[in-house]
Amino acid sequence: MPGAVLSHKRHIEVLVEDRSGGQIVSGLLRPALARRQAGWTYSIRRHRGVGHLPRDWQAKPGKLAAGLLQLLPAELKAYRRDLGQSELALVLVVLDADDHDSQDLFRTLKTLNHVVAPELPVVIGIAVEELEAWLLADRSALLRAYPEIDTAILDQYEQDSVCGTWEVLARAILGPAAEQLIKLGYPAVGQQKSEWAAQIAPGLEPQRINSPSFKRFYQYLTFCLDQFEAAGSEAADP
Amino acid sequence: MLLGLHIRNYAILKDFRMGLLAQDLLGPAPAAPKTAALTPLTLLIGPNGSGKSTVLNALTFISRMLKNGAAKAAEDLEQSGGFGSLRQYDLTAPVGFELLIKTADYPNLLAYRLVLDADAEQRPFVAAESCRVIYASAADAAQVEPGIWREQLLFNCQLRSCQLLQTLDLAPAAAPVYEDLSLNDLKRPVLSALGQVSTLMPLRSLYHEITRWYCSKIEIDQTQFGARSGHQQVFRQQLQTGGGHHHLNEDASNLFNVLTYLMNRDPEDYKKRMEQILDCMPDRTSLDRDLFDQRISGSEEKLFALLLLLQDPAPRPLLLLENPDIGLYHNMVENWAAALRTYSLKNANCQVIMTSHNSFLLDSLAAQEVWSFRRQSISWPADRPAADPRQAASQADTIRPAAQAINCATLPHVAAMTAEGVGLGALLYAGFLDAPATNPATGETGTSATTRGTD
Repeated sequence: MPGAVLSHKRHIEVLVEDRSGGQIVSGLLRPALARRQAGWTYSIRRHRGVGHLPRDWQAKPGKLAAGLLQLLPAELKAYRRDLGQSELALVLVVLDADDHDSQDLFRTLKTLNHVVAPELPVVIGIAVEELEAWLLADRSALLRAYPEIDTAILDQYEQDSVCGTWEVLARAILGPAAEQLIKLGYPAVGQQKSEWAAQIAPGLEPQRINSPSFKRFYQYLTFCLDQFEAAGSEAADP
Repeated sequence: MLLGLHIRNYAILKDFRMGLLAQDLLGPAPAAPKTAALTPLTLLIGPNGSGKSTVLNALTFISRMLKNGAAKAAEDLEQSGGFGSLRQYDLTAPVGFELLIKTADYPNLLAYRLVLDADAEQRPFVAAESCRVIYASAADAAQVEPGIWREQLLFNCQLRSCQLLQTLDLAPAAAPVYEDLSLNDLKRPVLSALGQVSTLMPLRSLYHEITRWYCSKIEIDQTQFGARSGHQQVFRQQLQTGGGHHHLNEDASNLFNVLTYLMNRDPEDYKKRMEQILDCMPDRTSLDRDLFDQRISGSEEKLFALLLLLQDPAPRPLLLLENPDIGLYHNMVENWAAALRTYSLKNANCQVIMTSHNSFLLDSLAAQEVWSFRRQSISWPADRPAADPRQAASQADTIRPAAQAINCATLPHVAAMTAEGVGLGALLYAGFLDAPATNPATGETGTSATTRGTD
């Protein structure tokens, strides 16, 4: 962990691409944090899409910049400024790999963290292709939200494969109507994803989610939270 | 320049503060950071029904009261049900206004207080009124630091009895002398009379300033070009009969009268101003001709009117604008926002307070220029925050909404984010500008931490 002052900081800032990402992460965080006794709070900060990382990480964002990656260097620098005088413990960045290589993206973001905000603890979560992959990994939550869901389609899905993830979810939930949605493309798709995320998220249980990309992220997050709590209780001991 | 206001018992503004008040300066230096004053450009943002328009309406009401008396001003109220229904909480507690103002031509600050009550027929009258000069020594006055300021009472009225200062002397050799007056008519604020006849210069200045506040609701005429002949007739009539008008009126229906006035006043100056306006219009090539043939679209006309407002050669000390961006395409908003900033820099004594939801407008402002509104549920009359809005604390309590505003520069992370170049529009979208409320049940911080919508 970077050498930050760890004790008594219990707030997490969560950066996501869009509304449905926010709902999914919120659904995962809520049970995970509720289980801990330490009184964690979090804020979801959504963006308008993902965009691209700017070439110059030291420069200010362009006018009207709105994508997660476009604003990420500036936001990390801003959080780093506030580390000393706020409840901020760490920053979570959660996004889809889409058609990027997720390992590459992960390494780039880690480097960004070290270059622009080395003291700021950042946990990065990258879903292979799309965040819906994490939803597909929690069968109970899916059934709870959509009891009529087509489990045959779900069974065919290979977890964390690059296969058109959200289309799998669309076909499982909507059946034949999914084809029309797929043809329409964005922004109708974005709206529907939001709907599904809102329905499914309340039933998510991080420990049930079988996705390797999620497990990596979740394990590291748990590790960081443990560290903060341990430092907190050490500081409290006389 | 309105530096701060405190409004009590006016619709949803139960006990509402925004900006800097006299007590912030007169009290001892506080431990907490000092309150931010309202800025020359001030934007009010927040969900619908959170009180933003009510603040503009209240300020308009005060200005009209000074111009026309309480009865007429109450008639013109936007509130359905008139003055009587303004008091949503306590029908017995009076409606109170307190303002801290720096006028253009008086060097010290003025604290003005006006309290209204109503008779059995819900007709308003002035229950109390006072005005004080707030001053500090010349060296200290530059910074707005509390603890070094003093006050001098100019007049104080309680119902019909009034004490009026005879001579203003901020470094008096002897104690100030007050004259006792008895008021005939409680339907007009005393400042209306004093502002016109008093030898006390600050009162004249204050009256002159508040009565020139201007409230604008320029709406877009949605009718088709061809069918707008009725509208055009009105314009042409006004041009023929109305003559030149010095200022644009509330709904800009006298647009052509103002153009006539400007043309006649100084043709060279008029040309320059038109150039500046047309430069901001998205498609200016045909605009010159189309404007006078009345062939331009409603939204172009609205943009033109808003730009003309900013070209007033004798600009008002305060413009109150309700959603100026409604109906305007995004690049029109950006152009107007740039013109607004130029107006503000050129006219140091002129202030604009506006409401909007528009992120393009937001992007042109600094965090300290934006106030975020929130509608809080309070348990009344116990006056406690309601733990659960659906449960009344006791049988006698009711749950009522009360408006609250917070300066965006004081919200967590906003100062750091804007310093690093993240725009206010992006911060609005991400939820940084929402006045905070924590839901302890979920641990999620945000305006509406429900399980469904986490935005």
